[in-house]
This record gives sequence, structure tokens and C-alpha cells, in this order.
Amino acid sequence: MSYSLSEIEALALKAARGAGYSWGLSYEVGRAVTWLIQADLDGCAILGHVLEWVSSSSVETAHCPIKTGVSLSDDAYCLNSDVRTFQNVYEPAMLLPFASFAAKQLNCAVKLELDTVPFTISPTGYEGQPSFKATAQSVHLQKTADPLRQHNRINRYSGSPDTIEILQGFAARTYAPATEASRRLGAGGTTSDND
Amino acid sequence: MKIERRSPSQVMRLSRLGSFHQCRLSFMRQLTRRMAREHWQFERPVFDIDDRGVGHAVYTTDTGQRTYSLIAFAHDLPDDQRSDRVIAEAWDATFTLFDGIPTPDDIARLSENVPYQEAGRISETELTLSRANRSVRLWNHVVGSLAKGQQPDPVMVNQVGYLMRTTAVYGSGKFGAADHATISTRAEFQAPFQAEMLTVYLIRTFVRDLVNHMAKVRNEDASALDPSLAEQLGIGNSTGLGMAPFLINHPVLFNNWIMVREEALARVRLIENAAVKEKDLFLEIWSRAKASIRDWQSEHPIQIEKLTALKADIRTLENVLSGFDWTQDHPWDAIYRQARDLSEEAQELLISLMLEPYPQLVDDLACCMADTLQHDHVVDGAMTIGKLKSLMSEAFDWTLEIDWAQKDANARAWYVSAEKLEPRLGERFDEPIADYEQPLAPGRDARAASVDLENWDDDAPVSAFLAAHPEHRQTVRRAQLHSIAPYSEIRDNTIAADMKPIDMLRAKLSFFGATRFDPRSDRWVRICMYVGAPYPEDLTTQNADFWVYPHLPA
Repeated sequence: MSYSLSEIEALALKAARGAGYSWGLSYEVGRAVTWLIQADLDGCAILGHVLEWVSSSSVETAHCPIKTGVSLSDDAYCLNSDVRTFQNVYEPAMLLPFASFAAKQLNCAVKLELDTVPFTISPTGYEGQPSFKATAQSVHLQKTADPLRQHNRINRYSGSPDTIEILQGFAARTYAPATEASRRLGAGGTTSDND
Repeated sequence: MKIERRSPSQVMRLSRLGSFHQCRLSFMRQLTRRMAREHWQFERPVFDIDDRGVGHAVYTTDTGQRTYSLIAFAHDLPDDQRSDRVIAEAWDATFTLFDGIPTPDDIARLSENVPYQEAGRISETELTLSRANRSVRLWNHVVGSLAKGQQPDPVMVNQVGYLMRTTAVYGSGKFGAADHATISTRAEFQAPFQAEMLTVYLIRTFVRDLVNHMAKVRNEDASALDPSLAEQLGIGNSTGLGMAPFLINHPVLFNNWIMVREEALARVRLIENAAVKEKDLFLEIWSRAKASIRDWQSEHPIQIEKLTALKADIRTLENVLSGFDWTQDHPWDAIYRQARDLSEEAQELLISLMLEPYPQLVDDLACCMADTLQHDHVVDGAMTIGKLKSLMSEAFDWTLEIDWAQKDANARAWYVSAEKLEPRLGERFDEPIADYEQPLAPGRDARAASVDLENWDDDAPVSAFLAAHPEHRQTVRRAQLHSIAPYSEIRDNTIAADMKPIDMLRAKLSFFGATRFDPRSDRWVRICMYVGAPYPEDLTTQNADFWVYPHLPA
């Protein structure tokens, strides 16, 4: 069974919201997870790890990759004069899509180093070894002189049902409980549908 | 004299959007014109329905480059299970549009999923998922009449307008269907919602065939439904709240639809002289449109009031047109200006009709109605606060006129129910739903962001503001998008106590090409699609465009 990218994007957005991120950040999460899948990485599993960590007590011990990632993208222009550096980022694979959003704004490839392991990132994908640790002690992002590369993109998600279920669990927190009053008042016409 | 596109402050108000009418840019008519122009071939390779009306059928359409197949499953639905709402679990008929010609294995797989709709899964070889329920009264009357060798009562046929109505037509990757991006590179699917419009067009043919079949089951000497009556039957649609969030969540797409129609209007107003045949075509369409307004019925007080005003304004316009000097300069602009004191229903009807004589000026705009920009847009953190404030002002200056401290201004909250994920609208202060509120109040959110922006230095980067205020990210995104999409924001409070969701539903449905808007509450509307359209075997370039206007009796 496979999933369309748009339904995964919607699920990832709702899951992030269910875990407590603002709607604006959740929208970015949907885009990031889609990017990961298109780059042939298991974006849903990666997001699942982040959301479970964010909901646990370990969250004090490292930095959130979603917030770090959004900062990388929002401050892309800073890469014109600086290298961006972070310490201790959880589930660092989640940084790749945001680095690609920076590359898109700069119109050139960027180099992301996770504990010195390098990734060259363009808007449509990356070059590098797809092996990630649970936490990156040191993260560096810099602009390169490399032009943008075109990468092959996957257009369906075929991950495990367990992974999907984890995200659905978080997404379910955004649904209001079903009640008789809600069913009666919330939607529908006032006449029967047997006309 | 300067003629420009109407401004967003004039157009993007809910009461005007809720008065839109179909026009030649509608997605339905773009499809019928294409199918005729490209000589799409239609066949029905399978019609395997038993005496209880249960089974399946396959309708194929060959575009010359590709083939698409509607697979229809017919069910025997007990009356007490019939519901148009998202929470329904069974239907009279269920459908999917298959990308190609289905094999027996495909049919078997789909027969185990499509009848369950949201509870099943489809795959990348399916483009849409849909279901329909009967109009019980008309269905029974038509089957009964045909079985007696008679034709149904044309007045009832006209009154109801459809034998079945769809209660959802899902596309764009939902429930596993192919993503829109994977098919929108095909010329036939570049325009919005073409796969959905094709699905409904084929459903209509199936429904006609099914009613004939059920009459024959009852009596093998039954008559077939007269083609002229069949033509007056469309496919109804029962539309609820799910469609309203769409307009807010796809601001650039919505902008494109509006901007194209406004551009078309401006082009027609700029025409210096109306040729005789253009004037004659307009007057003919005007008469036919008036006839369809006479047939437009609703029991809902909101619509009754709008129809009363519309009918009065039509009489006024009739007087204007009967004494009108067509030789004057810029005649269309003159008519347009005469209508400016009339109801919005009348103004928007007139605008739609004015576009009809000018396919050469209007139809090429259709390719601008799709959108790929929004999905690729990245928030620009380098933008200065000063620039952001000016963009916010353009997009959201209207929010200054609302007193957000009033309870009425915040009365509603949009939410999704755990019950089959049905979109609902609730009363924030009376129901426990505020914690589940969906982000569908861009006006309220923009006002809150503006307050927080007041203390920021104009030279600071937006990224710093967003780092301090992640809760304002959506507002910043929308303001940045608005700079390239001036018609993207609805300039009304979408959580106000008196907000009518049907205004948003009607705006979207008018672009689909729907007619006969019949609200059943402030958040539920029935409409009709393809009323008057030729069936596949009769479709030609002569009848593929103006079918939406009923022919006048000889």
C-alpha cells in the first residue's frame, strides 16, 4: 500500500499540531516531511521520532530540529556572509529539507555538516550518505559555490503502517471529540436527505 | 475614462462572493469544450447490474492520447441509511475514475474499497473517489413512469433537476489517489478540477443508464427516458463545510480564479464597439438565462430573498436593454455601469453573461487558473519589518474596521470532528471546541500579528520577528503571498457570528459551473451540475459550450 504525498503532507501537518507546534510551524513540517520522502528518506519515521521526543522528558537535553530548521530557512540570507552553527540537535535528518529551502532562496547549493558528515543540498535533493545519528553534536551550514543539482524525486510514500499510526495518534489530538450536540449543530442541512 | 480590474476590496467580500454565477471560464464548460474539440470517444464496455440494481459498470473515454475509465458500483441502500453527510457509511452508488482501462484484478481490488469510501484505500492508478445518493422522490417517479410505458412529469424533472446527487468528489491524492501534481502536466488536467468534472460527467451517463435499467427490470416493455428529458437532468451535489476551508487554505489558487474573471470583465468593458452578432448572442443568452432564473427554486429564506431581488433587478435590466443604444462607444461598460446600483446577484449574473460573446478574449485566460506557486513559496525571512507592515496593510487593512474585542466578532470556531473527520463550525463560547480550532480566521490572526509588530523596528528582519512569535508565521506567509496574489484574502471575518459559510461554498461552486444554488441551512447547499449538457454520444463543438442556458420553447 502506498500513500500520496498530499495526504502525507496533511497528516504530518496535523501530527505536528497535535504535538503542540503552532499551525505555521506545522505547515512547514508538512513541507519538510514531503521533501524527505521525495529525497527517498523515511520522512514519516523521522517526524515520528521528533514528535515522540518532544512529548517526552528528554526534550530538555537537545535542540528541536524543527525550530532549528525553520531558523536555518528564515535566516538563509545570513549564509551570504556567515556559517551557521548549532550544537546538540535531535534527529538531525529533519534539518535537510530546511537546508534545501535555504538553497532555494540563495539559488545555490548549500553544505550541511552533521558531526562533520557532509551533505550537499539543492532544492530537489541531496548528495551524501543517508546515515543519521539520533543527535548531532555539531551542525554547520554554509553556502557553496556549487550550482543547484537536479535530483530524482520519489512521488509516493510506502512506509510502514506502524509509522503512519504513530503520526495518526498525534493528529487525532486535533480532532474535537464526537458528541451528539456537535453532530446536530456542527454541520448538515436542516431537512432530511431522503428527499 | 479609465477601466481597470475591479479592486479586491470590492470583489473579495463574502456577500459578493456568495452571489457569483457560473460563466464560460467554469471548469465544467472548459471540459465539455475540450472533449468536443478533441473528439473524445466514449464507450461502455461493462454494465453488469442485477435486478436489485446492484453491480458495477465501466465507462471509458479515449482522449486520443489516453483513456480514462469511470468505475461505478451500484448498491441497494435502505432508506434509513441514506445521508449526505460525511458521517454516512453507505450510499446508493460509489465511483472512482481509473487512469487507463481497469483489469479484472483492478475491479476486484476497487470493489473491496470504493464502496467504503473514506474507510477504504485507492492507489495512484485512481484519480478520484466519489459517491452519490438518489433523489428518492424523483427516482421512484421516473422508474415508475417508464415502467408503465410513460415518460415522467417534465415539471417534476425540471423542479428537482437530478436523479442522483454526489455528496463528495475527492481527488488530489486523497485516500491514496494520484496526486494532482502527477496529472496536472497532462494538457487535459492542467485546468483546475478537470478529473473531478470528468468523473461527474460520466456519473451522469451512468445514472441515466441505471434508471432505464431499473425500469426494464420492473417491466421489460418499459420506455427509455426521453433524450430531451434526460438532458434536463444533471447530477446534483450536496455541499457542506469541507469546501469552505479550501478557499482559505489555497489563497493563490483562489486568487487566480478571481483575477482571471476580473481580467475577462475588464477586457470586455474595454471593447469599443459591439458587433451585431456579438450583441445578438448576448441577447439570446440573456433570454435563456432569464428562463433558468425563473426555474431556480429554493425554500431557504436567505435564497428566497436573493431571488426576489434578482428577479426584480432582471426586470430593471430588461428595461435598460430594450432601450439600449448598442452603437455607443464602450457599450458593455455602459451596461455594466447601469447595473451598479442593483443587487450583487444581478451584477454578478450580468458580468458572467457579458463574457459569453467573447471566447477569443476570455478563454485563453483559463490556463492561468491553475497554481503551482503557493506550494513552492518559502517564507522570506530577510524581508524587513517595514516592508512586511506595508504588505500586511494591503492584505489586512479591512481588519481595522472590526471590533475584535466584541464577542460577536469571535463567535465561531471551525473544527474537525473525531467523528469521521467531518469538518464542522461551532459556537466558541457555548461549546468545548476552542482547543481544536482550525486556522481559518486569517483576519483575526492578522490583527493580532499587527499589534505585536507595532514595537518592532522597521529595519529589523522578519526572521527575528518570527523567531520571537512563531504563532504569527501563517499571517506572515499570507501577507507575502498576497503581494503576488491581490485577490487571495477574503475581506470579511470568517469567525463572525453572522458569517454564512454558504457564501464561500457558492463562490467555489460557481467556478465549477454549478447552477441552482439551493441552501438547506447556512452551511449546507444543494446545487446541480451539467443540467442541459449533451450526453457523450451527442457532444459536438456546436453544443459543447452554451448548454448551460436552457433552450427557449419554440
